[in-house]
Amino acid sequence: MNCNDHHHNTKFSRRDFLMKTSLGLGALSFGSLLSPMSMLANEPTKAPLLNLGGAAGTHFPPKVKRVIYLFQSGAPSQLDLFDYKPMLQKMNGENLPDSVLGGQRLTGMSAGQAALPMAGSIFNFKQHGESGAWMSDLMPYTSKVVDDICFIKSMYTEAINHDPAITFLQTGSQQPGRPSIGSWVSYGLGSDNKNLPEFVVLVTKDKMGQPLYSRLWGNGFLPSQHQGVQFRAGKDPVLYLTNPPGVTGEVRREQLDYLHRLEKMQHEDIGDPEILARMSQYEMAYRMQTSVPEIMSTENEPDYIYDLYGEDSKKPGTFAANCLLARRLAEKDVKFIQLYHQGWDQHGDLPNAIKQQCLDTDQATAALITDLKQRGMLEDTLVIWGGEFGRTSYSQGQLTPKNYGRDHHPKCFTVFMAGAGIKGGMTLGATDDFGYNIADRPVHVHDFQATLMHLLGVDHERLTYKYQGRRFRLTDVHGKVVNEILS
Amino acid sequence: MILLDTTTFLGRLHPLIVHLPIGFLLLAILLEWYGYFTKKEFTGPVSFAWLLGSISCIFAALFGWFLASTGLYVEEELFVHRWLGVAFILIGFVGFYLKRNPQKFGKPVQTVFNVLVIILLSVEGHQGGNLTHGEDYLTAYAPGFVSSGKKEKKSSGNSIERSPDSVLVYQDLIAPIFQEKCVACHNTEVAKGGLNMEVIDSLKKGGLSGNTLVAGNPKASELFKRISMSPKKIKYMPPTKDVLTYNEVKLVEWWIEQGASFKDTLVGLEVDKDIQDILLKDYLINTKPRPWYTKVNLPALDTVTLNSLEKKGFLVRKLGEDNNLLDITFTEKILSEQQFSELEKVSEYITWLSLSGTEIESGGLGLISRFKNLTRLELNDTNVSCSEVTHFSSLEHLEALNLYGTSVQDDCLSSIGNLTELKRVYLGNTEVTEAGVQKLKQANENLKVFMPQKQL
Repeated sequence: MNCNDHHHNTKFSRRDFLMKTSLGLGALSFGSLLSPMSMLANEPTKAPLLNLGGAAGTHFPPKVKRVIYLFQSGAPSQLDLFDYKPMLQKMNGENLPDSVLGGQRLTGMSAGQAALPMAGSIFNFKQHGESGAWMSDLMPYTSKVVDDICFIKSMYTEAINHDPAITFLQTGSQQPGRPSIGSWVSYGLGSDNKNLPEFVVLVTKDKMGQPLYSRLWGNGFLPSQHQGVQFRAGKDPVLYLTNPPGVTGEVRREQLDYLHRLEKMQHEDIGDPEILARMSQYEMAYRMQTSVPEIMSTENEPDYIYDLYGEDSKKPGTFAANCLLARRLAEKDVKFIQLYHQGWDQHGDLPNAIKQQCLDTDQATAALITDLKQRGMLEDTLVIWGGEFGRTSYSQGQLTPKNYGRDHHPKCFTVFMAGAGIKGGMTLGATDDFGYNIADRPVHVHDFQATLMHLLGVDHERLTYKYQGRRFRLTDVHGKVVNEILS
Repeated sequence: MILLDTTTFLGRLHPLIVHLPIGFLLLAILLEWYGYFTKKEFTGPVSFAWLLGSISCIFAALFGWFLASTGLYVEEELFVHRWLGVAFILIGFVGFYLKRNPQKFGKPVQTVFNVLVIILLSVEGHQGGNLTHGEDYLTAYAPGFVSSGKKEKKSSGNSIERSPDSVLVYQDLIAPIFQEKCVACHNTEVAKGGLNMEVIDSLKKGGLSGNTLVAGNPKASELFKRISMSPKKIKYMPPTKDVLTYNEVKLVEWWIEQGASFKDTLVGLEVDKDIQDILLKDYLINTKPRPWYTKVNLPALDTVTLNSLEKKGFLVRKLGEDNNLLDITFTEKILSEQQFSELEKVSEYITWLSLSGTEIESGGLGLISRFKNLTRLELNDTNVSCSEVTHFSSLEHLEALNLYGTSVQDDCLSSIGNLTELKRVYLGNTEVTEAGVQKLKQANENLKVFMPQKQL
C-alpha cells in the first residue's frame, strides 16, 4: 500500500510537517509540565524496544542464548508419563467424584458418557536420580537424566481443543494471527548467525494426528524476516532454495543485485517495511544455499553419537534425526529451534499408542540433553519438552484392565525443561490426588512464556510491537515470571 | 467466612454509630436543663430523645462487640469499655423511665442522674478513643503541661524496596512482623508481661519470663517458644486471631539462630535455602549468589568501538541495558593473531567469549590473560594448545571453561587448578585421562568436570 502517494516528490508533505512538529512541541511542553526536571536532566530513559528491525538486544543479562523447544503436539498424557497418582490406581474404575469434577463442563467427546471411571495408569512408576523424580517405565532414557530436568506439573491453559491450545502456547493468544515465540525472539534479540535464520522449525515427517499449520511458526504482524523457516527431510531441506537448472551461482548473485536496486527504489518511494524484509530474506536464502546443506549433512557425526540418539537418528525426518539436527543448529547459534512431534492425541487405545510415541521420542530427548551437557552447551541452551494441554484422569470410552483412553484436559499438565538458567532435579507445583485439579503453584501459559523470555534476558512486558494502533506483546497483558525454577 | 466478614464490616461502623447515643443523650440532658432554665415543660421531647439514645445504645454496643471480636484489641484494655457500653443500654432505659415520670422523681434526682450520665459518657468515649487511636493520641501534641513528656515518634515499618545488599535484617524483615503482630500489646505504654517490643533496647532486655532472646538458640528463646508452640496452649502468642504465619515463624527462628542481631544486613548473614525461598516469595528479595558479571560496573562503550569489532568478524552483544559487559562470539573460520588483538581495547569488558569451532593461529591467545572479567570461555572444537591454556591462570573470575573436542592433555590442566572461582570445566573428547580429572578435582573441590566416555 502506498501511504504517501499524495506527495510524490517529498518525504514529508506540508501537512505532515505541521502535524508532526506541532504535536511534538505540544508533547514536549506537556512533558515539561508534568516533570520539569526531566527537561534538564540528562538521565538515559529506558525506551521500550520498538526497533523495527529487531536486534535491540537484551534488557538484562540472559541466562539462555538459545532454545530448543520439543513440542509434543496432541497433548501427551501426563498421568502415564510423569504425574504419578497412586490414588487413581487404587480407585481404578470408580466414578470420578463430583467434588473433584467441580461441575466442570466437559468436551463433547466425553460429556455424553454415562460414567467417568477413573483410570489409573497401567504403567509402573519409579523414582529416579538423586532428585527422586517419579517417571513411568515408558521413558527409560529420560528417566536417567531427571537430575538435569525441572518438571512443572501444574501448568494449565484456557483452551480445550488442539489448535487454539497450540496457538495459545506458541503465540500467547488462542486466535491465530499473533507472532510465534520464536518470531518474538528473533525480533527482539536478532541473529547470532548471519548465514542461518534465527528461528528454525523441524517437524517429524509422516506423522498422523492433529494438523500443524505453518502459522504456528508465523511472524504475525512482525516483519516477515522473523518467521520460522521449516527445514524438511530429503533432497530439498528448504523449499525453493536451490538454483533452478541452468542458473549458476554468479547468475543468481547478479540477479539478486539487480533486484535489490529495484527494491531499493521502490522502498524509497513508498517506504513499505515489508520490502526491506523481502530483501533481507532474499539475501538470507542466498547464504543458506551453502549453510543449509552443511547443517543437514550429518554423515560426519561419529557412530557413538548415532548410538546415543538411537537407530532412528540415521533416518532423516524422524524425531531423533531432528533432535540431532537441533543440536547442530544450536552449535551454529540458531536462537530458536522448534521441533514438532505429532501423535499424542490418545482418546482411545492410549496404552498402546503412547508406547509407540515414547519409543519415537524418549531416547532422542534424553540424548539431546546428554549431548548438549557433555559439550558444555547447557551453559546457555534451554531444552523444553511439552504439549498443549493435559489429559483427563477418567477414561474416555470403555475402561478395561488393559485399555483406556483419555480426553483433553486443560486444567493441568506437565512440561519439563533442562538447561541453562533453571534448577535441574526439581519439580514445581502439584496436582491433587486425582490428577484432576492443581493443588499447588498453578503456572499459566503466559507465566511460562514470561519465564522463557526472562531466561533469554527479555522483559516480556517491554518487548512490544505496535500494530493497528496498539502495542502487542507475547504475553498480552498477563504473565508472571516463575521465579522458583530459576537457578 | 461471610458471616465473619459481615460482622467485621459492621464492627468497623462502631466508631461511627457511637456518636448517635452520645449525641441523643447529651441533647436530652441539655434540653431538660434548658427547660429548667426557661421554666418550660419539655417532658415529651426529652423522653423521646432518651428513647432514641437507648435504642442507638443497643446498636452501638452490638457493633462494638463485633469490633472487639476481630481480635485486634487487648482484652484487659477492653474490659471497662465493653461492659460500660453494655451498661449504657440499661442506663438509657432507666433514664427514659425517669424522664417519662418527672412527677415521681424530683429535680435533684434528675440532675444527679444527668451529671452521672455525662461523666460516664465521657469516660466511655475517652476509653473508646484510646482504643482506636492509642493512648497518647490525645496528649501527644497538647501543650507541655498536659502531655506526659513522652513524645517519642514511632518509626513506621519502612517498606521501600531495596537491593538485597542493603536490606537490614531486623529493621526491614523482623521488625515489621513484630510491629504487625506483637506491638499492639508489647509496647511502651502497656508492655504486657514486662515485654516492650517497640524499642530495640527494651526488646533486648526482654520480658518478665527472662531469656526472651537467646542469640543463636531459638529453642531456648522465650519469644520463639511462645510463637511456635501449639496454638491451643494458653501461653501461645499472640493471643489474638492474627497469629504469625509459618514463613514469619521461620524467619524469626532464622534471625535468632543467626545471632538475633539488630544491625546486620542480609549479606552479613548466612541465608539457607528455605530462607532464600521465603525471602524471594514473600519479600521479592533475591539472595542467591550473584554471578560476577552482574557485579562489575563499567561505563558504556561507544558504538564505534563495537562496530569495528563486528567488522573484524566478532559478534558483539551487550549483556543488558544496564550491563555494559560484552558477550563476544567469533563468527569466522580462522582467527588470526591480528584479529584477536582487536579485542584488546575492550579486554576488561569481555565476560563471555566463544571461539568454538575456529582455527586459532598459534600463539594468538596470549592476550586472553588480560580479560580479567571473563567468566565464560568456550574453546570447544578448536586447536587450542597446552601452552595457551597456561594463559588462563590469571582469569580469577572464570566460572565455566569449555575445552570439549580439543587436544588438551592432563599436563595442561595444572594452570587452571588454582582458579578458585572455576565451577565447570568441559573436557569431553580430549586426551585428558581420569587421573588428570582427579588431580584437577583435588586442586579445586568445587569444580565439576564434565567428561563422559566416548562410547555411551
